[in-house]
Amino acid sequence: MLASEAWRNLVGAPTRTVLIMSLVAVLTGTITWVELTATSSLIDFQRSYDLRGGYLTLAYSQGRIDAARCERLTRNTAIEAAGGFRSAGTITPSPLPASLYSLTEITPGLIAVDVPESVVPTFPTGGYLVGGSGAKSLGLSNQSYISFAQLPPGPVAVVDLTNRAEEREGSFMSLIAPQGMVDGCMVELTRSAYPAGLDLLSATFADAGPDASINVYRRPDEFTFDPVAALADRPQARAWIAMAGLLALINWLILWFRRSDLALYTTLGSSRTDLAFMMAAETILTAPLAWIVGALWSTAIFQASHPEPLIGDQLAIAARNTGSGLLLTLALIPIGTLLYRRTDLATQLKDR
Amino acid sequence: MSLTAHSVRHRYSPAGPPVLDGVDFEVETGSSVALTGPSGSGKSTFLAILGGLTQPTHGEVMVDGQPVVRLSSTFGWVFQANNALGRRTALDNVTLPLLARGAERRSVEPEACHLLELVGLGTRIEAVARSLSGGELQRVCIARAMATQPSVVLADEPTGQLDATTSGLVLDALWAALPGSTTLVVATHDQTVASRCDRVVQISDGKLVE
Repeated sequence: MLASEAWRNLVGAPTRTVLIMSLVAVLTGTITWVELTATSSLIDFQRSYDLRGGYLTLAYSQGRIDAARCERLTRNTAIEAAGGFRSAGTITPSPLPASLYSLTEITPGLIAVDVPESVVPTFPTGGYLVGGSGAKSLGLSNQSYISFAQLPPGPVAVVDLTNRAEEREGSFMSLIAPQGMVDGCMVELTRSAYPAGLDLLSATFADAGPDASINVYRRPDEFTFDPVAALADRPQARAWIAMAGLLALINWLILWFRRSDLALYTTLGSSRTDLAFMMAAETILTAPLAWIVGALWSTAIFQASHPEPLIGDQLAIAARNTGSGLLLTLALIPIGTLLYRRTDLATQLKDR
Repeated sequence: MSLTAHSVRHRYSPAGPPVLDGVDFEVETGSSVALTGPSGSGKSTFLAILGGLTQPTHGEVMVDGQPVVRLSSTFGWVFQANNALGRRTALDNVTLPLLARGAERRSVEPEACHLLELVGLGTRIEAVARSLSGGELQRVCIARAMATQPSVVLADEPTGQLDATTSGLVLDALWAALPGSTTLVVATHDQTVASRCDRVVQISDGKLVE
C-alpha cells in the first residue's frame, strides 16, 4: 500500500518530483565529471610514470648477477619483466673506423624491460639492437646492415631507449642466452606489488657479493607525485558522503514542508515506520533513475569533449563514488524520517 | 462506546495560564455533543486531547474505560482547516485511512465511492482535492472520517470557513453519513451546528459549563 501511496505522491506532485530528480542527477553528473577529469589526468600521468620507468629497479654487482636467476624472476607475480646485461667492451663500426661504441650483451628478457607497450622488435638473428642516438650517429635504420672491426656483420634493429635505458642510447646490444653471470639485472616491478617485489629482489640477489646494490631506477624525487597515492588522496574521493549528506538534508527540509501531510497520515493511522517506508519508497522510485540519467549525461558530455576514450576503471571509480552516495542516501532517508522530531500533531495539522 | 475525560488540565507552556483547568467530560454512545465557546477558549485543544492528538499536561481520556494512549481507529476526524492531501484525488483521500490500516486499495474503493456519493460528491470522485471548493473539500473530509466506521467522530469547526449555504450542505452531509451508533463531538462557535446536537457544553475560563 505504501509503495502505491509513494507512487501516487510522486505523480501527484510532479514539480517537486522533477526538482528532486534533477538535483540527484546534477549531483551525480557533477561528481562523475570531476572524477572522470581527475582520473583522466591521473591515468595520463600513470602512463607516463610507467613508460619512464617509475617501477624499474636495478640489481647490480659487476659480474656477479646470475643471469638465469634474473630471468626467472618473471615467474613471480610481483615482477612484470626482468633481464640481465653485462658490458662487453667497445667496438668500432666499419663506417666510422676512428670511433668507439659500447657493446652490451643482454638476455632476452631485457627487451621487454627496455621497450614497454610498444611492439618489441624481433631481435635480428645474428644482429644487434642499437639505441636511437647510436643509430642516428651512424645513419642506421631498421634492418640496416652494419659491420665492425671486432665482430661479424649483421642487421640492426633500432629501439627508443630514452625513457628506460638512456645510458645505453648510444650503445649496440647483442643477445646472449640467460646463462652465466652478468653485471646487472633490470627489473620492472608490478605496480600493485611494489614492496613485495623489492623484498623478492633483495632475497634473490642476497649472495651477489658485498658490493651488490638494489636501487630504484628513477630517483624518488624525479616525479612530482605518486599517481596511486594521488588517486587515493583525491579530495573528491569522499564526495559520496557530501552527496548523501546534502540529499538527506534536503529530505529533512521536504519532511518539514510536508509535516502537515505526514501528520495527516499519522492521524489517519500510519505509523512512523510506515512513513519511513513511504519516504524510502519515494526515493527508491526516483533517485536510481536520476542517478543513471546524471551519470550517463555527464559521461556522454565528457567523452564528447575529450579525445581519449574512457576506460572501464574510470567509469567504475565515478560509479562507485556516486553509487555509494546514492546507497547512503537510500539508507539515511528512512532513518531521517524515523528520527524526525514531531511537535504536537494538532499543531502540525494546522501548519498548512 | 463511552468517551470520558477526567481532570484534564493543559498548558501550552509551563509558565503560561491553563487553557483547560480540570475538565471532566462524558459522552454516551450514539449521542452528539457540541463544544462551544469563544475563540481561544480551548475547544480545539480539548478536542485534540480527546482524540489523542495532543497529550494533556494532566488528566486522562478513556474510551470504554481504557486510556487513549495513542491514535486508534476509534476516532474519525473532521478538521477545520480542510486537512486533505491537496495533490491527490477525492477518492485517494477517502481511501487513505483504510489503506493506512492495511486494506487493499481495490477492495476499499467501492465503499469510498459510496461515502463520496453519500456526501453529495458522486461526480467529483476523481477530482484533485485542491481543485475542490471549501465546502466540497470539507465533505471529502467527512467521507474520509466515516471510512473506517469509527465509534467516535471528532469534528473541529467543520463549518468554520464556510458560508451559511455551504455550511448547511456540509452539516447535512455530516449527519447523513453518521450512523446512529456513532458518537459525535463537535467543537464549534456556530449556533446552527450546536442546535443540531443532542447536548451543548460551553468551555469558559478553562472549565466546562453545561
